[in-house]
Amino acid sequence: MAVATWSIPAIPRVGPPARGVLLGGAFVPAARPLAWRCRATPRRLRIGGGIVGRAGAAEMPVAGSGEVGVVFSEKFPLRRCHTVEGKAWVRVDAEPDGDGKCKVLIGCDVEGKWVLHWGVSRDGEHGREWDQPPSEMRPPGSVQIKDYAIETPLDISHNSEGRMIHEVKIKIDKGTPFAAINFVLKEEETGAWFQHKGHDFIIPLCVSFGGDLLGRKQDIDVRPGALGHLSNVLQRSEGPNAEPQKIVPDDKGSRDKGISGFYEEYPILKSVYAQNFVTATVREINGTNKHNVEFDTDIPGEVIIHWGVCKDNTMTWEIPPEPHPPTTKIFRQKALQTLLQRKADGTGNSISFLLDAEYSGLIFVLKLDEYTWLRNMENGFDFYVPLTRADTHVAHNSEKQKTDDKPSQTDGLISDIRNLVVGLSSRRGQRAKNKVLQEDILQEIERLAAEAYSIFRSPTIDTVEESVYIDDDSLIVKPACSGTGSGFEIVCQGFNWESHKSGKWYVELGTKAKELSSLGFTIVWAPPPTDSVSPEGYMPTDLYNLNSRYGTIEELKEVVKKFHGAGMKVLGDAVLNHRCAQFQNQNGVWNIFGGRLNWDDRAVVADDPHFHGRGSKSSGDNFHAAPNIDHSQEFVRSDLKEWLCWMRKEVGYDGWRLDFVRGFWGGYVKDYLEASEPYFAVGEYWDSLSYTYGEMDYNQDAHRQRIVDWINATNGTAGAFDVTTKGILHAVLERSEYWRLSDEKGRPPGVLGWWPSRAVTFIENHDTGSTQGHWRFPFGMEVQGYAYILTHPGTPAVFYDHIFSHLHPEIAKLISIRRRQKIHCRSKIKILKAEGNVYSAEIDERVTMKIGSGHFEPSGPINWVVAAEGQGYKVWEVPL
Amino acid sequence: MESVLTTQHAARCPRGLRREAGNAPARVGFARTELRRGGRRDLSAAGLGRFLGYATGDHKNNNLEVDDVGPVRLFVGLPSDTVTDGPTVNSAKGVAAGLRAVKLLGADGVELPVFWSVAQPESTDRFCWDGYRAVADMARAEGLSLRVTLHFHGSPSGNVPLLPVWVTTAAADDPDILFTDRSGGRHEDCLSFAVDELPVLHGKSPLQCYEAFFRSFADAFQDFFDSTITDVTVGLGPNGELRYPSYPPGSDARGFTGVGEFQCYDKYMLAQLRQHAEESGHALWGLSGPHDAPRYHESPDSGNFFKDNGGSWQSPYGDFFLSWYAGQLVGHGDRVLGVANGVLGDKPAELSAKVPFMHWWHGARSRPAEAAAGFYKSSQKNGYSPVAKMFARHGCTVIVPGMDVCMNKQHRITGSSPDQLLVQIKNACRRHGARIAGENASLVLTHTSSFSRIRSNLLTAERTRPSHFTYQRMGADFFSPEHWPLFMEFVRSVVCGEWDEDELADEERDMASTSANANAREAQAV
Repeated sequence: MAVATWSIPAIPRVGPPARGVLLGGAFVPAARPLAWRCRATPRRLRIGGGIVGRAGAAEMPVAGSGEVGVVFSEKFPLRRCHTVEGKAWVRVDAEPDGDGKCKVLIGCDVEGKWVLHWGVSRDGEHGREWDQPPSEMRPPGSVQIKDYAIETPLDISHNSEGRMIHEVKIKIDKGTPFAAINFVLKEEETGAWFQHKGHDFIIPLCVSFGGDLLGRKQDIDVRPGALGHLSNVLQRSEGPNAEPQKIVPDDKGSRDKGISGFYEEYPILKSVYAQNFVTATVREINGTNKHNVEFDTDIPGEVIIHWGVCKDNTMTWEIPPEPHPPTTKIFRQKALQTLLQRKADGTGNSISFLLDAEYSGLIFVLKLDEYTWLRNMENGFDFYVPLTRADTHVAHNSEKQKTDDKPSQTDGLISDIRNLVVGLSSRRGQRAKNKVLQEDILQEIERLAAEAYSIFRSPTIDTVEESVYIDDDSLIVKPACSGTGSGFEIVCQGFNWESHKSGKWYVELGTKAKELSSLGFTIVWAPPPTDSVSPEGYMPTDLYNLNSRYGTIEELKEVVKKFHGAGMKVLGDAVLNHRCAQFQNQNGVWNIFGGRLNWDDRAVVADDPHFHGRGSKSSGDNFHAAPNIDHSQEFVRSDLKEWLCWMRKEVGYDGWRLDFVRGFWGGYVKDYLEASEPYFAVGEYWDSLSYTYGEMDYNQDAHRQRIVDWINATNGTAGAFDVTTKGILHAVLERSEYWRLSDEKGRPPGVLGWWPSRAVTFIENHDTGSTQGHWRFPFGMEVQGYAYILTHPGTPAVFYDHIFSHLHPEIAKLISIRRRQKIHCRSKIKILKAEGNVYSAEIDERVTMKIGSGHFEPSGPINWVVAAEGQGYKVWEVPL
Repeated sequence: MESVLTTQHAARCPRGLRREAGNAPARVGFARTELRRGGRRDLSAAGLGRFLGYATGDHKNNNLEVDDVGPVRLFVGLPSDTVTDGPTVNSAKGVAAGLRAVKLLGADGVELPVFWSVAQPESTDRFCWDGYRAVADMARAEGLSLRVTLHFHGSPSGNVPLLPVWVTTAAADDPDILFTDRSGGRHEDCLSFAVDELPVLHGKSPLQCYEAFFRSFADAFQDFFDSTITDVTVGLGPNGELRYPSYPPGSDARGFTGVGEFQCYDKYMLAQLRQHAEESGHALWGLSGPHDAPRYHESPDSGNFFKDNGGSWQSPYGDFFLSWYAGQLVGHGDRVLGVANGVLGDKPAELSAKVPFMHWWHGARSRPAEAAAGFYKSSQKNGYSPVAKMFARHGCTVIVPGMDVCMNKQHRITGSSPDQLLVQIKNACRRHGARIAGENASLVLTHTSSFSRIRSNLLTAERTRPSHFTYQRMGADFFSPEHWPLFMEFVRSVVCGEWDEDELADEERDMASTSANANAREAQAV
């Protein structure tokens, strides 16, 4: 609210530029209306206080000028943690009330949204087994948690002293069959759990349960279910009260198996975060060489600023000469500690003092007590307040640059380390006597580390920056294993839809190994190896049975060995989305698996009506012909990881082609790939492009975004087939619309235009072509397609049927150009022409290509030589 | 003064070294004598490369037991594939740069993993030490000390062959010399402990082969013992740790955090089990391993064996089996260390060996993961006790590879308890008087609290303070911009020298504000 009311007067007064400021977040220094805003800020925002102040602070850093001489004013948000102490208690009323019920009261007096997470246990066994209590025991408002617990909110009431307390009452029969009530307390707002010494609380309901009440044996395990997400905001203090008391059996409790009354308290500590702010304002004082510095914060209690000044942007702490502000102490010759003065209205603390103008900046942190220091939440460093006006601008700019401008990898690498190291040294060792010497050493260390890094990094050609893919670029973390091979890979799909028919495919494929290798292929994609309901292998049953219609496991190992001998890597076709069951459950539904991974219906997703799965809902789209595997199950994932690792080792596969990855979340794929560490991995994420009235849209960003999203979810550990490019090539070639091959930003329109190192380009595979022909590439145009993908960045994949056909010589020629000119998955591409009947592009300034019937000839100072030419395409290269 | 001069020397020589590598040894020879004369006085960016702990050693301390506690020496592990075949050093330039970088940073030395399969690849009598010697030369040239780890087993995920070819062929003839699990899965990286003294390797017993290997190593590195090699670590099992390979065959010991399975199903282990059962009058107990133990990835509850309450592990049979199983492990360690001591005992180097740090399921009463790996003592006593006793008898330092492991959510699910485990290991070592040394379980990348944990483990005032700590290990990730600056900061916070005096205030403030940091607080609370 406060933000809104505060910004309304600003907009009409400032006009369009200010709107730019507000929306764009750019800083426009020295604009007079802004100075007004800035002055107004502390006053207005103080009304809002706390959280609102924080929200408003985002646009605050503003440099001003004018009458009052405000040099700088900024409101920094603060997050402060303070603890609230209180107690929780358990009371058992053994005396039955009118209905013959006993009462158990569980309460606590710390503010919060408390929930009792509880269950009962039937026998004297400790710890592990919880049961849900019968419904008559459940207080109103209870909800079931899975099949073992109940959550009941604590009601707010007031105790005899009028303080607010939270309490819940559970009624139980005098002769209850249960041995104990187990519980933990949960605070919903912070998500914190409160336990007793790391274990569940236990309220014994019968004497025979034993005298050890809450102090159970220490080595009892904690409940994995409830404690898996044990959060940590709550702390337990081990005061003397926490010691369990022995129950005094209540004599009135007639039978020896009965409820006895008792009362117990436990101290609890809850940590609460509070939003606060501190405002620093610097004003020039006309006619003097001094600045007035003012600090203002809404934090109550004692607040100290721990501060120093610096010259020339060095960020080196210095102490200004005396006089210091009142209530200032010098801290170890390094900094000043000034106690802020309580404001008259009691809303916080503030101080203002004069400072010589010779300093360029003031650095500070806030100290609340010995253990609590508050720093700049944005960057985790000290707060910095520029004291000169020009400086304001520069400081912000340079800071912005530092964060925005992620340097490109080669230079960036060294400068990254240098920045960090120098930062380290300038923050720390400034005062050392041998400063210069140490700088030398640090520089040497940093140079050596960068050198070592560049050598130890995999021999992949990683120097070309990845920034072609612009969306969320900053979020891409370089994965531990990026299944992208060397970057110079060329994939051969080593089978078609009919390959299973001979029953000896592995043997046949093996005879081609030498030939494929000499053509220039580096990777072969082998058919799905597992035992399968369908002969083609995509309906797997027993994952560990690798005897399939393509051959036996021995033949598979043999063919892998052959390809390895020929210097090629082999991809296994892994079907992880679904798996066919071998057995029916008691209701006749096929959802019980056999073989080494003898899963049951817990491994099947719950939202496919055909297979009655007991797992979670699917994390992706369902494939309806077979039970979809629930990858959210830990045991499923660990089994699959083990299987992949086994295949790596047993068969010798170097990587994976992952079938139907639309069916489950890419994050699981990341898990699998990190476990199996493939050399190369590619996923099949195939969905429809966008069409309007039957005509393909020019802009296919949404389509490629879905594929890129999936790659992102895998954290870049896998590439994906560039279905977008294939689809666009269809439209381009069928209708001679070559303009489609340049997107709105002049880049290739498929995944390869955004994230080339993860795009595996192809024009046909066993599904789209072969004897299935679901989405066949325009007939007679295949060479143009290959002229495109084999000269472009991305990793091209060539279909088996095309290699061993009349296209063989032309494909061979294109591959040899790619190899000769060292085009790789991150090669730079410049589109020269994208018109109705011709498309041309220059790659890495070494190769120029064109497809289409239109005229194109490369020009420029380079002496281009024709390298390949055929129906509708032409490729030129720079002679080596 | 001396220190300043040497620092200049250190800072300047790399350029020269790069240009003319051939000349380096001569210059370094000089540096080396300096090093020997001045004790551990080598120079680094952090000033005098000393750990805080050294100061406590210098003070006259009345407690005799603490008196001999020297400074904690800091090592950095070299890549495990530094040498993979014969004479070549892989990424030699990277290794050279790395050595110099850690030297300047203030590390005392590096750890060089040596593999049986690399040093003795082809036959029982041919050794090839050239590659490793070249690395040792490089370390000596930098004035770094060297801890050599002698691994008898390659790691399935590494780039090193698992076993020498001639051992693999023997195993192909008689697969039962390999560890075998209940379903018949063989561990192709690990010879069964039961064949230690049987002539299964082309007429020799593994123990004889180990001895020959030690002897050849000692001969090949004779000239390094006085100057460079300060520590020799003997690999006693998979991943260099004294343990059974209780993880699934073909996987990596380091990645596995399940309960695991017993590995006693090769015919030699079974024969020994049968004999032991007959001797103890329960012949029927010796027919096989426990039938009700969980499978590799199952929870301890899923069979009857490891159930917290009333599981068979508590029965007389369970105790019989586990005691025998653990005894075999200790026996193996005892035999190999005995041989190692016989060969290397007179060398001026500290002998050490590694135990596993299996913190997962440590919270379960039966400690199933540890039991499956061979750590057990009757009536719920400290399973590390017999092992520590055996180590102490051989004067062998216990390397604990989990100085960085913090409690976190993931671990919590598996009932992990790294704190308790560390205390337990320390107790065992203290009771029997075995020295402790440390390693980290993994590169510290995401959990930055791991560095502070290592720090507190190293700078403890306890008597069980580690005698050295090895940070594992160099490689691309280690030098990456995400990791290297953190590591630098860590080293400089542990190694302190004169120029740090001015920083104490800063340091204190840093630490204080870290504790104000929400993460740190939360981490403590759990």
